[in-house]
Amino acid sequence: MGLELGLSLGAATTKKGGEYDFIIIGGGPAGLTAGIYAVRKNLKTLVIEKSEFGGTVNLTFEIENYPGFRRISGAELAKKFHKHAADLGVEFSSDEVKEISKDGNWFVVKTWEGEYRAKAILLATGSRHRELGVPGEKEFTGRGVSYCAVCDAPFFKEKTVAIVGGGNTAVKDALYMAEICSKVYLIHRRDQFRADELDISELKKKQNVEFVLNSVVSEIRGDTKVNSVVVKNKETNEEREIQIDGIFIDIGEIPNNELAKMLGVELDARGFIKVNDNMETSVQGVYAAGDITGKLTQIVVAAAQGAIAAVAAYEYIRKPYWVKN
Amino acid sequence: MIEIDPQTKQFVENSFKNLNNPVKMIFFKGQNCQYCDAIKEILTTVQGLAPEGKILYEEHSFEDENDLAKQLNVDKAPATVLKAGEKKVYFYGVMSGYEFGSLIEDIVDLSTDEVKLEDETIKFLEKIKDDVRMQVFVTPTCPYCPRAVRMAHKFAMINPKIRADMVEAIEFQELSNQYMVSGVPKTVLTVNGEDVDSLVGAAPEPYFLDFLKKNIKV
Repeated sequence: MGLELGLSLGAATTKKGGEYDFIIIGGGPAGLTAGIYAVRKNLKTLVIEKSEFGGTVNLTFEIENYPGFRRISGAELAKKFHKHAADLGVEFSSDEVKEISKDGNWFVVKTWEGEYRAKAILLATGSRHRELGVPGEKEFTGRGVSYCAVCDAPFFKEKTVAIVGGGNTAVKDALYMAEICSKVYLIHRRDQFRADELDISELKKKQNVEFVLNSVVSEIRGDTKVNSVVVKNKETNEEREIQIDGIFIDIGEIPNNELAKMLGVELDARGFIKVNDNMETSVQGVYAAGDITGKLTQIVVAAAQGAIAAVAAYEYIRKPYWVKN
Repeated sequence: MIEIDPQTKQFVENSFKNLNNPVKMIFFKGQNCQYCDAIKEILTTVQGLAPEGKILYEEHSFEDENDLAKQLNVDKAPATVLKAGEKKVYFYGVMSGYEFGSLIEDIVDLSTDEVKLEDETIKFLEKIKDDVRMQVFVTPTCPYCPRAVRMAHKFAMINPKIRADMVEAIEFQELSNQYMVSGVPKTVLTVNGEDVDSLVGAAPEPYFLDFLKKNIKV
Protein backbone atom coordinates (compact mmCIF):
# COMPACT_ATOMS: atom_id res chain seq x y z
CA MET A 1 0.00 0.00 0.00
CA GLY A 2 1.24 3.48 -0.84
CA LEU A 3 2.22 5.07 2.43
CA GLU A 4 3.87 8.05 0.82
CA LEU A 5 2.20 11.38 1.43
CA GLY A 6 1.32 14.32 -0.65
CA LEU A 7 0.50 12.65 -3.94
CA SER A 8 -2.29 15.13 -4.54
CA LEU A 9 -0.01 18.00 -3.83
CA GLY A 10 -1.19 21.38 -4.89
CA ALA A 11 -4.79 20.35 -4.63
CA ALA A 12 -5.58 22.93 -1.98
CA THR A 13 -4.29 25.81 -4.10
CA THR A 14 -7.21 27.62 -5.58
CA LYS A 15 -7.09 31.11 -7.00
CA LYS A 16 -9.87 33.60 -7.37
CA GLY A 17 -9.11 35.02 -10.82
CA GLY A 18 -6.64 37.48 -12.32
CA GLU A 19 -4.74 38.58 -15.41
CA TYR A 20 -2.06 36.41 -16.97
CA ASP A 21 0.07 36.29 -20.09
CA PHE A 22 -0.51 32.60 -20.57
CA ILE A 23 -3.17 30.32 -19.13
CA ILE A 24 -2.68 26.59 -19.48
CA ILE A 25 -5.74 24.43 -19.04
CA GLY A 26 -4.74 20.96 -17.92
CA GLY A 27 -1.90 20.06 -15.57
CA GLY A 28 -0.54 16.89 -17.21
CA PRO A 29 2.93 16.55 -18.74
CA ALA A 30 2.04 18.88 -21.65
CA GLY A 31 0.64 21.62 -19.43
CA LEU A 32 3.35 21.44 -16.79
CA THR A 33 6.17 21.42 -19.34
CA ALA A 34 4.59 24.37 -21.13
CA GLY A 35 4.49 26.09 -17.75
CA ILE A 36 8.19 25.46 -17.20
CA TYR A 37 9.10 26.90 -20.61
CA ALA A 38 6.72 29.85 -20.28
CA VAL A 39 7.98 31.08 -16.91
CA ARG A 40 11.55 30.79 -18.12
CA LYS A 41 10.49 33.20 -20.87
CA ASN A 42 9.12 35.40 -18.11
CA LEU A 43 5.48 34.95 -19.04
CA LYS A 44 3.09 35.25 -16.12
CA THR A 45 1.66 31.75 -16.30
CA LEU A 46 -1.16 29.90 -14.62
CA VAL A 47 -1.97 26.18 -14.89
CA ILE A 48 -5.54 25.22 -14.09
CA GLU A 49 -6.17 21.56 -13.31
CA LYS A 50 -9.51 20.12 -12.28
CA SER A 51 -8.23 16.81 -10.97
CA GLU A 52 -4.70 15.69 -10.21
CA PHE A 53 -1.59 17.53 -11.36
CA GLY A 54 0.23 15.07 -13.60
CA GLY A 55 -3.03 14.10 -15.27
CA THR A 56 -3.33 10.55 -16.52
CA VAL A 57 0.34 9.93 -15.68
CA ASN A 58 -1.07 9.26 -12.21
CA LEU A 59 -2.83 6.21 -13.63
CA THR A 60 0.37 4.48 -14.74
CA PHE A 61 1.97 1.93 -12.42
CA GLU A 62 5.41 2.14 -13.85
CA ILE A 63 7.06 4.21 -16.55
CA GLU A 64 10.15 2.87 -18.26
CA ASN A 65 10.46 5.10 -21.30
CA TYR A 66 10.85 8.61 -19.95
CA PRO A 67 14.50 9.57 -20.44
CA GLY A 68 16.53 9.93 -17.28
CA PHE A 69 14.34 7.59 -15.29
CA ARG A 70 15.03 3.92 -15.79
CA ARG A 71 11.90 3.03 -13.86
CA ILE A 72 9.55 5.37 -12.02
CA SER A 73 5.94 5.22 -10.86
CA GLY A 74 3.43 7.49 -12.58
CA ALA A 75 2.53 9.19 -9.31
CA GLU A 76 6.18 9.93 -8.58
CA LEU A 77 6.91 11.35 -12.03
CA ALA A 78 3.75 13.48 -11.85
CA LYS A 79 4.94 14.89 -8.57
CA LYS A 80 8.38 15.68 -10.00
CA PHE A 81 6.85 17.53 -12.96
CA HIS A 82 4.67 19.56 -10.62
CA LYS A 83 7.57 20.37 -8.30
CA HIS A 84 9.78 21.44 -11.19
CA ALA A 85 7.13 23.81 -12.48
CA ALA A 86 6.34 25.12 -8.98
CA ASP A 87 10.01 25.76 -8.20
CA LEU A 88 10.32 27.90 -11.33
CA GLY A 89 7.34 30.06 -10.42
CA VAL A 90 4.46 28.60 -12.39
CA GLU A 91 1.20 29.43 -10.62
CA PHE A 92 -1.43 26.78 -10.09
CA SER A 93 -5.09 26.58 -9.39
CA SER A 94 -7.10 23.48 -8.61
CA ASP A 95 -10.26 24.45 -10.34
CA GLU A 96 -12.41 23.62 -13.32
CA VAL A 97 -12.88 25.84 -16.35
CA LYS A 98 -16.58 26.20 -17.06
CA GLU A 99 -16.47 28.70 -19.89
CA ILE A 100 -13.92 30.18 -22.24
CA SER A 101 -14.37 32.95 -24.77
CA LYS A 102 -12.57 35.68 -26.65
CA ASP A 103 -12.84 39.37 -25.83
CA GLY A 104 -10.83 41.44 -28.30
CA ASN A 105 -7.21 40.35 -27.95
CA TRP A 106 -7.90 38.71 -24.61
CA PHE A 107 -9.26 35.35 -23.65
CA VAL A 108 -11.72 35.18 -20.78
CA VAL A 109 -11.60 32.02 -18.69
CA LYS A 110 -14.39 31.42 -16.20
CA THR A 111 -13.92 28.80 -13.51
CA TRP A 112 -15.90 27.78 -10.44
CA GLU A 113 -13.83 30.14 -8.34
CA GLY A 114 -13.21 33.17 -10.50
CA GLU A 115 -12.64 34.87 -13.81
CA TYR A 116 -9.30 35.13 -15.55
CA ARG A 117 -7.97 37.00 -18.55
CA ALA A 118 -5.06 35.83 -20.66
CA LYS A 119 -3.25 36.85 -23.82
CA ALA A 120 -2.78 33.26 -24.95
CA ILE A 121 -4.26 29.89 -24.04
CA LEU A 122 -2.91 26.38 -24.10
CA LEU A 123 -5.46 23.61 -24.25
CA ALA A 124 -3.79 20.61 -22.65
CA THR A 125 -7.04 19.03 -21.60
CA GLY A 126 -6.07 15.46 -22.42
CA SER A 127 -8.44 12.60 -22.93
CA ARG A 128 -10.61 10.22 -20.98
CA HIS A 129 -11.08 6.48 -21.24
CA ARG A 130 -13.15 4.98 -24.00
CA GLU A 131 -15.95 2.57 -23.15
CA LEU A 132 -16.56 -0.75 -24.87
CA GLY A 133 -20.28 -0.14 -25.29
CA VAL A 134 -21.33 -3.73 -24.66
CA PRO A 135 -24.18 -5.10 -22.52
CA GLY A 136 -23.22 -5.34 -18.85
CA GLU A 137 -20.48 -2.72 -19.01
CA LYS A 138 -22.41 0.16 -17.45
CA GLU A 139 -24.37 -2.09 -15.13
CA PHE A 140 -21.24 -3.60 -13.57
CA THR A 141 -19.02 -0.51 -13.46
CA GLY A 142 -17.55 -0.47 -9.98
CA ARG A 143 -18.71 -4.05 -9.49
CA GLY A 144 -16.00 -5.72 -11.49
CA VAL A 145 -15.74 -3.42 -14.49
CA SER A 146 -12.91 -0.93 -14.05
CA TYR A 147 -11.10 1.68 -16.10
CA CYS A 148 -8.45 2.39 -13.47
CA ALA A 149 -6.08 -0.43 -12.60
CA VAL A 150 -4.02 1.63 -10.15
CA CYS A 151 -7.22 2.44 -8.25
CA ASP A 152 -8.87 -0.96 -8.20
CA ALA A 153 -6.10 -3.57 -8.52
CA PRO A 154 -6.08 -4.35 -4.75
CA PHE A 155 -9.63 -5.74 -4.96
CA PHE A 156 -8.52 -8.49 -7.33
CA LYS A 157 -5.62 -9.99 -5.41
CA GLU A 158 -5.41 -13.73 -6.12
CA LYS A 159 -8.45 -13.51 -8.37
CA THR A 160 -9.04 -13.90 -12.10
CA VAL A 161 -9.29 -10.82 -14.28
CA ALA A 162 -9.51 -9.91 -17.94
CA ILE A 163 -7.84 -6.93 -19.52
CA VAL A 164 -9.17 -5.61 -22.80
CA GLY A 165 -6.93 -3.77 -25.23
CA GLY A 166 -3.69 -4.03 -27.15
CA GLY A 167 -1.86 -0.80 -26.43
CA ASN A 168 0.73 0.14 -23.84
CA THR A 169 -1.82 0.71 -21.08
CA ALA A 170 -3.42 -2.69 -21.52
CA VAL A 171 -0.10 -4.53 -21.63
CA LYS A 172 1.34 -2.61 -18.66
CA ASP A 173 -1.81 -3.26 -16.65
CA ALA A 174 -1.64 -6.96 -17.58
CA LEU A 175 1.97 -7.13 -16.42
CA TYR A 176 1.05 -5.59 -13.09
CA MET A 177 -2.08 -7.68 -12.58
CA ALA A 178 -0.15 -10.86 -13.42
CA GLU A 179 1.90 -10.21 -10.29
CA ILE A 180 -1.08 -10.09 -7.95
CA CYS A 181 -3.81 -12.13 -9.67
CA SER A 182 -4.03 -15.89 -10.00
CA LYS A 183 -4.98 -15.60 -13.67
CA VAL A 184 -5.04 -12.83 -16.25
CA TYR A 185 -6.69 -12.96 -19.69
CA LEU A 186 -5.60 -10.36 -22.20
CA ILE A 187 -8.35 -9.86 -24.75
CA HIS A 188 -7.40 -8.07 -27.93
CA ARG A 189 -9.23 -7.71 -31.21
CA ARG A 190 -6.12 -8.27 -33.31
CA ASP A 191 -3.31 -10.80 -33.18
CA GLN A 192 -0.69 -8.07 -32.92
CA PHE A 193 -0.11 -5.42 -30.30
CA ARG A 194 0.60 -1.72 -30.47
CA ALA A 195 2.34 -1.91 -27.12
CA ASP A 196 6.12 -1.92 -26.75
CA GLU A 197 7.63 -5.25 -27.80
CA LEU A 198 9.75 -5.47 -24.65
CA ASP A 199 6.63 -5.47 -22.48
CA ILE A 200 4.87 -7.97 -24.72
CA SER A 201 7.75 -10.44 -24.54
CA GLU A 202 7.82 -9.95 -20.76
CA LEU A 203 4.10 -10.69 -20.63
CA LYS A 204 4.47 -13.81 -22.78
CA LYS A 205 6.81 -15.24 -20.13
CA LYS A 206 4.14 -15.07 -17.44
CA GLN A 207 2.69 -18.48 -16.65
CA ASN A 208 -0.64 -17.08 -15.48
CA VAL A 209 -1.39 -14.91 -18.52
CA GLU A 210 -3.54 -16.22 -21.35
CA PHE A 211 -3.82 -14.29 -24.60
CA VAL A 212 -7.27 -14.19 -26.17
CA LEU A 213 -6.50 -12.72 -29.58
CA ASN A 214 -8.55 -11.77 -32.63
CA SER A 215 -11.42 -11.55 -30.18
CA VAL A 216 -13.90 -8.91 -29.16
CA VAL A 217 -15.94 -8.64 -26.00
CA SER A 218 -19.62 -9.07 -26.76
CA GLU A 219 -21.03 -9.08 -23.24
CA ILE A 220 -20.09 -8.79 -19.59
CA ARG A 221 -22.21 -11.01 -17.37
CA GLY A 222 -22.82 -11.25 -13.67
CA ASP A 223 -25.37 -11.14 -10.88
CA THR A 224 -24.48 -8.72 -8.12
CA LYS A 225 -20.99 -8.45 -9.60
CA VAL A 226 -19.10 -9.55 -12.71
CA ASN A 227 -18.87 -13.32 -13.15
CA SER A 228 -17.89 -13.76 -16.76
CA VAL A 229 -17.10 -12.15 -20.06
CA VAL A 230 -18.32 -13.38 -23.42
CA VAL A 231 -15.79 -13.03 -26.22
CA LYS A 232 -16.24 -13.70 -29.87
CA ASN A 233 -13.42 -14.81 -32.11
CA LYS A 234 -13.47 -12.60 -35.20
CA GLU A 235 -12.14 -15.30 -37.50
CA THR A 236 -14.18 -18.29 -36.44
CA ASN A 237 -17.18 -16.39 -35.03
CA GLU A 238 -17.03 -18.78 -32.11
CA GLU A 239 -18.20 -17.44 -28.78
CA ARG A 240 -16.54 -18.31 -25.53
CA GLU A 241 -17.57 -17.45 -21.99
CA ILE A 242 -14.66 -16.89 -19.63
CA GLN A 243 -15.20 -16.92 -15.86
CA ILE A 244 -13.64 -13.80 -14.30
CA ASP A 245 -13.92 -11.67 -11.18
CA GLY A 246 -13.04 -8.40 -12.82
CA ILE A 247 -12.41 -6.76 -16.17
CA PHE A 248 -10.18 -3.78 -16.91
CA ILE A 249 -10.95 -1.83 -20.06
CA ASP A 250 -7.95 -0.17 -21.72
CA ILE A 251 -9.12 0.43 -25.28
CA GLY A 252 -7.96 3.97 -25.81
CA GLU A 253 -9.12 7.48 -25.20
CA ILE A 254 -11.61 10.05 -26.32
CA PRO A 255 -10.60 13.71 -26.37
CA ASN A 256 -11.69 16.22 -23.71
CA ASN A 257 -12.58 18.77 -26.39
CA GLU A 258 -15.45 20.66 -24.76
CA LEU A 259 -13.42 23.86 -24.23
CA ALA A 260 -11.94 23.64 -27.72
CA LYS A 261 -15.47 23.58 -29.11
CA MET A 262 -16.40 26.67 -27.07
CA LEU A 263 -13.52 28.53 -28.71
CA GLY A 264 -14.43 27.26 -32.16
CA VAL A 265 -11.11 25.49 -32.57
CA GLU A 266 -10.94 23.15 -35.55
CA LEU A 267 -11.05 19.45 -34.67
CA ASP A 268 -10.22 16.35 -36.68
CA ALA A 269 -12.74 13.65 -37.52
CA ARG A 270 -12.09 11.88 -34.21
CA GLY A 271 -12.56 15.06 -32.20
CA PHE A 272 -8.89 15.78 -31.46
CA ILE A 273 -7.57 19.32 -31.91
CA LYS A 274 -5.82 20.03 -35.20
CA VAL A 275 -2.42 21.66 -34.67
CA ASN A 276 0.46 22.72 -36.92
CA ASP A 277 4.16 22.21 -36.20
CA ASN A 278 4.06 25.11 -33.71
CA MET A 279 1.12 23.62 -31.82
CA GLU A 280 -1.03 26.47 -33.09
CA THR A 281 -4.72 25.75 -33.51
CA SER A 282 -7.09 27.34 -35.99
CA VAL A 283 -7.76 30.17 -33.50
CA GLN A 284 -4.99 32.73 -33.10
CA GLY A 285 -3.54 32.75 -29.59
CA VAL A 286 -4.88 29.28 -28.81
CA TYR A 287 -2.41 26.39 -28.66
CA ALA A 288 -2.90 22.70 -27.97
CA ALA A 289 -0.52 20.04 -26.68
CA GLY A 290 -0.57 16.52 -25.30
CA ASP A 291 -3.16 13.78 -25.73
CA ILE A 292 -5.78 16.26 -26.93
CA THR A 293 -3.84 16.56 -30.22
CA GLY A 294 -4.41 12.87 -30.96
CA LYS A 295 -0.74 12.12 -31.59
CA LEU A 296 1.30 9.37 -29.93
CA THR A 297 0.02 9.29 -26.34
CA GLN A 298 3.36 9.30 -24.59
CA ILE A 299 4.62 11.47 -21.75
CA VAL A 300 7.71 12.50 -23.67
CA VAL A 301 5.60 13.58 -26.66
CA ALA A 302 3.22 15.60 -24.49
CA ALA A 303 6.16 17.29 -22.78
CA ALA A 304 7.77 18.16 -26.11
CA GLN A 305 4.54 19.53 -27.51
CA GLY A 306 4.11 21.61 -24.34
CA ALA A 307 7.56 23.11 -24.85
CA ILE A 308 6.85 23.98 -28.48
CA ALA A 309 3.49 25.50 -27.60
CA ALA A 310 4.97 27.65 -24.83
CA VAL A 311 7.68 29.05 -27.08
CA ALA A 312 5.15 29.74 -29.83
CA ALA A 313 2.87 31.49 -27.33
CA TYR A 314 5.81 33.57 -26.13
CA GLU A 315 6.58 34.64 -29.68
CA TYR A 316 2.93 35.52 -30.23
CA ILE A 317 2.65 37.54 -27.02
CA ARG A 318 6.05 39.31 -26.93
CA LYS A 319 6.88 39.50 -30.65
CA PRO A 320 10.68 39.22 -30.14
CA TYR A 321 13.06 40.52 -32.81
CA TRP A 322 13.45 37.15 -34.53
CA VAL A 323 9.76 36.87 -35.27
CA LYS A 324 8.93 38.37 -38.63
CA ASN A 325 5.61 40.07 -38.90
CA MET B 1 7.51 4.42 7.80
CA ILE B 2 5.95 7.66 6.69
CA GLU B 3 7.92 9.94 4.46
CA ILE B 4 7.23 13.61 4.04
CA ASP B 5 9.41 15.27 1.46
CA PRO B 6 10.46 18.93 1.72
CA GLN B 7 8.07 20.02 -1.04
CA THR B 8 5.04 18.44 0.62
CA LYS B 9 6.11 19.85 3.96
CA GLN B 10 6.38 23.35 2.55
CA PHE B 11 3.07 23.00 0.76
CA VAL B 12 1.30 21.94 3.95
CA GLU B 13 2.90 24.75 5.94
CA ASN B 14 1.73 27.27 3.35
CA SER B 15 -1.79 25.84 3.38
CA PHE B 16 -1.82 26.15 7.16
CA LYS B 17 -0.79 29.82 7.27
CA ASN B 18 -4.39 31.00 7.32
CA LEU B 19 -5.72 28.54 9.88
CA ASN B 20 -8.09 30.22 12.25
CA ASN B 21 -10.27 28.08 14.56
CA PRO B 22 -8.56 25.14 16.23
CA VAL B 23 -9.22 21.74 14.64
CA LYS B 24 -9.18 18.58 16.75
CA MET B 25 -7.83 15.36 15.26
CA ILE B 26 -9.33 12.62 17.42
CA PHE B 27 -7.75 9.27 16.65
CA PHE B 28 -9.24 5.95 17.77
CA LYS B 29 -6.79 3.09 17.64
CA GLY B 30 -7.98 -0.43 17.03
CA GLN B 31 -6.67 -3.83 18.12
CA ASN B 32 -4.30 -5.72 15.81
CA CYS B 33 -4.25 -2.64 13.68
CA GLN B 34 -1.85 -2.78 10.75
CA TYR B 35 -1.82 0.92 9.97
CA CYS B 36 -2.41 2.56 13.37
CA ASP B 37 1.24 3.52 13.81
CA ALA B 38 1.24 5.01 10.32
CA ILE B 39 -1.94 6.98 11.00
CA LYS B 40 -0.56 8.31 14.26
CA GLU B 41 2.61 9.35 12.50
CA ILE B 42 0.70 11.12 9.74
CA LEU B 43 -1.50 13.00 12.20
CA THR B 44 1.30 14.07 14.53
CA THR B 45 3.44 15.11 11.56
CA VAL B 46 0.59 17.25 10.25
CA GLN B 47 0.05 18.75 13.70
CA GLY B 48 3.73 19.69 13.82
CA LEU B 49 3.37 21.67 10.59
CA ALA B 50 0.56 23.90 11.90
CA PRO B 51 0.97 27.05 13.94
CA GLU B 52 0.90 26.36 17.68
CA GLY B 53 -2.56 25.58 19.03
CA LYS B 54 -4.32 25.40 15.65
CA ILE B 55 -4.37 21.61 15.41
CA LEU B 56 -4.95 19.50 18.51
CA TYR B 57 -4.25 15.78 18.58
CA GLU B 58 -5.98 13.23 20.82
CA GLU B 59 -5.46 9.52 20.87
CA HIS B 60 -7.93 6.98 22.27
CA SER B 61 -8.51 3.27 22.27
CA PHE B 62 -11.66 2.26 20.43
CA GLU B 63 -12.12 -0.83 22.62
CA ASP B 64 -11.36 0.78 25.99
CA GLU B 65 -13.03 4.12 25.42
CA ASN B 66 -16.14 3.00 23.67
CA ASP B 67 -18.36 5.57 25.37
CA LEU B 68 -16.37 8.40 23.87
CA ALA B 69 -16.39 6.64 20.52
CA LYS B 70 -20.17 6.34 20.68
CA GLN B 71 -20.52 9.95 21.66
CA LEU B 72 -18.61 10.91 18.52
CA ASN B 73 -20.49 8.38 16.37
CA VAL B 74 -17.37 6.34 15.73
CA ASP B 75 -18.40 2.76 14.96
CA LYS B 76 -15.15 1.07 14.00
CA ALA B 77 -11.40 1.53 14.19
CA PRO B 78 -8.97 2.82 13.16
CA ALA B 79 -10.91 6.07 12.94
CA THR B 80 -9.93 9.69 12.83
CA VAL B 81 -12.47 12.40 13.53
CA LEU B 82 -11.65 15.94 12.44
CA LYS B 83 -13.69 18.30 14.56
CA ALA B 84 -14.05 22.06 14.68
CA GLY B 85 -16.93 23.25 16.83
CA GLU B 86 -19.88 21.06 15.87
CA LYS B 87 -18.50 20.24 12.44
CA LYS B 88 -17.05 16.77 12.02
CA VAL B 89 -15.69 14.61 9.23
CA TYR B 90 -14.46 11.03 9.45
CA PHE B 91 -11.54 9.01 8.11
CA TYR B 92 -11.71 5.26 8.60
CA GLY B 93 -8.30 3.78 7.91
CA VAL B 94 -5.12 5.36 6.68
CA MET B 95 -5.17 8.70 4.85
CA SER B 96 -1.95 8.18 2.94
CA GLY B 97 -1.23 8.45 -0.78
CA TYR B 98 -3.71 10.69 -2.55
CA GLU B 99 -5.93 10.90 0.54
CA PHE B 100 -3.32 12.91 2.39
CA GLY B 101 -4.54 15.86 0.33
CA SER B 102 -8.09 15.30 1.59
CA LEU B 103 -6.87 15.49 5.17
CA ILE B 104 -5.03 18.77 4.60
CA GLU B 105 -7.89 20.39 2.69
CA ASP B 106 -10.43 19.29 5.30
CA ILE B 107 -8.34 20.84 8.06
CA VAL B 108 -8.11 24.12 6.15
CA ASP B 109 -11.87 24.22 5.45
CA LEU B 110 -12.81 23.37 9.02
CA SER B 111 -10.43 25.87 10.52
CA THR B 112 -11.27 28.76 8.20
CA ASP B 113 -14.95 27.86 8.26
CA GLU B 114 -15.09 28.28 4.48
CA VAL B 115 -16.69 25.61 2.33
CA LYS B 116 -16.60 26.15 -1.40
CA LEU B 117 -19.80 24.83 -2.95
CA GLU B 118 -22.35 26.24 -5.34
CA ASP B 119 -25.23 28.21 -3.77
CA GLU B 120 -27.74 25.74 -5.15
CA THR B 121 -25.94 22.86 -3.43
CA ILE B 122 -25.72 24.68 -0.11
CA LYS B 123 -29.41 25.59 -0.23
CA PHE B 124 -30.38 21.96 -0.72
CA LEU B 125 -27.99 20.63 1.92
CA GLU B 126 -29.28 23.09 4.51
CA LYS B 127 -32.82 21.79 4.06
CA ILE B 128 -31.96 18.16 4.85
CA LYS B 129 -33.63 16.91 8.03
CA ASP B 130 -33.06 13.17 7.61
CA ASP B 131 -30.04 11.40 9.06
CA VAL B 132 -27.75 11.02 6.08
CA ARG B 133 -24.53 9.08 5.89
CA MET B 134 -22.12 9.09 2.96
CA GLN B 135 -19.43 6.42 3.06
CA VAL B 136 -16.81 6.99 0.39
CA PHE B 137 -14.71 3.88 -0.25
CA VAL B 138 -11.20 4.60 -1.50
CA THR B 139 -7.75 3.14 -2.05
CA PRO B 140 -4.68 5.33 -1.35
CA THR B 141 -3.44 4.82 -4.92
CA CYS B 142 -6.62 6.15 -6.52
CA PRO B 143 -6.06 9.64 -7.94
CA TYR B 144 -9.79 10.29 -8.42
CA CYS B 145 -10.85 9.36 -4.91
CA PRO B 146 -10.05 12.58 -3.02
CA ARG B 147 -12.60 14.41 -5.18
CA ALA B 148 -15.38 12.17 -3.91
CA VAL B 149 -14.12 12.23 -0.32
CA ARG B 150 -13.89 15.99 -0.32
CA MET B 151 -17.33 16.40 -1.83
CA ALA B 152 -18.90 14.24 0.89
CA HIS B 153 -16.86 15.94 3.62
CA LYS B 154 -17.83 19.41 2.39
CA PHE B 155 -21.48 18.37 2.42
CA ALA B 156 -21.09 17.29 6.05
CA MET B 157 -19.54 20.63 6.92
CA ILE B 158 -22.67 22.40 5.69
CA ASN B 159 -25.20 20.34 7.64
CA PRO B 160 -24.45 18.21 10.74
CA LYS B 161 -27.31 15.90 9.73
CA ILE B 162 -24.92 14.60 7.08
CA ARG B 163 -22.19 12.29 8.22
CA ALA B 164 -19.38 11.71 5.75
CA ASP B 165 -16.72 9.02 6.01
CA MET B 166 -13.67 8.18 3.99
CA VAL B 167 -13.31 4.41 4.20
CA GLU B 168 -10.03 2.82 3.11
CA ALA B 169 -11.50 -0.19 1.34
CA ILE B 170 -8.65 -2.66 1.83
CA GLU B 171 -8.47 -2.12 5.61
CA PHE B 172 -12.23 -2.55 5.95
CA GLN B 173 -12.59 -5.55 3.70
CA GLU B 174 -15.75 -6.92 5.28
CA LEU B 175 -17.53 -3.63 4.89
CA SER B 176 -16.25 -3.37 1.32
CA ASN B 177 -17.60 -6.85 0.61
CA GLN B 178 -20.91 -5.95 2.21
CA TYR B 179 -21.27 -3.03 -0.17
CA MET B 180 -19.72 -4.97 -3.05
CA VAL B 181 -16.95 -2.46 -3.53
CA SER B 182 -14.55 -3.50 -6.26
CA GLY B 183 -14.08 -0.11 -7.85
CA VAL B 184 -13.28 3.18 -6.19
CA PRO B 185 -14.32 5.80 -5.37
CA LYS B 186 -17.66 4.34 -4.40
CA THR B 187 -20.04 6.43 -2.33
CA VAL B 188 -22.69 4.54 -0.38
CA LEU B 189 -25.64 6.66 0.69
CA THR B 190 -27.60 5.78 3.82
CA VAL B 191 -30.74 7.69 4.78
CA ASN B 192 -32.26 7.19 8.24
CA GLY B 193 -30.31 3.98 8.67
CA GLU B 194 -31.28 2.48 5.34
CA ASP B 195 -28.80 2.01 2.49
CA VAL B 196 -30.58 3.61 -0.41
CA ASP B 197 -28.15 4.11 -3.25
CA SER B 198 -24.53 4.19 -4.34
CA LEU B 199 -22.46 6.15 -6.80
CA VAL B 200 -19.28 4.93 -8.48
CA GLY B 201 -16.73 7.49 -9.62
CA ALA B 202 -15.61 10.99 -8.75
CA ALA B 203 -18.62 12.84 -10.05
CA PRO B 204 -18.67 16.63 -10.40
CA GLU B 205 -20.66 18.64 -7.88
CA PRO B 206 -23.94 18.94 -9.83
CA TYR B 207 -23.94 15.17 -10.28
CA PHE B 208 -23.42 14.57 -6.57
CA LEU B 209 -26.20 17.03 -5.83
CA ASP B 210 -28.59 15.15 -8.13
CA PHE B 211 -27.58 11.91 -6.44
CA LEU B 212 -28.69 13.34 -3.08
CA LYS B 213 -31.80 15.03 -4.48
CA LYS B 214 -32.91 11.74 -6.01
CA ASN B 215 -32.70 9.95 -2.67
CA ILE B 216 -33.49 12.53 0.00
CA LYS B 217 -36.76 14.40 0.40
CA VAL B 218 -36.58 17.91 1.80
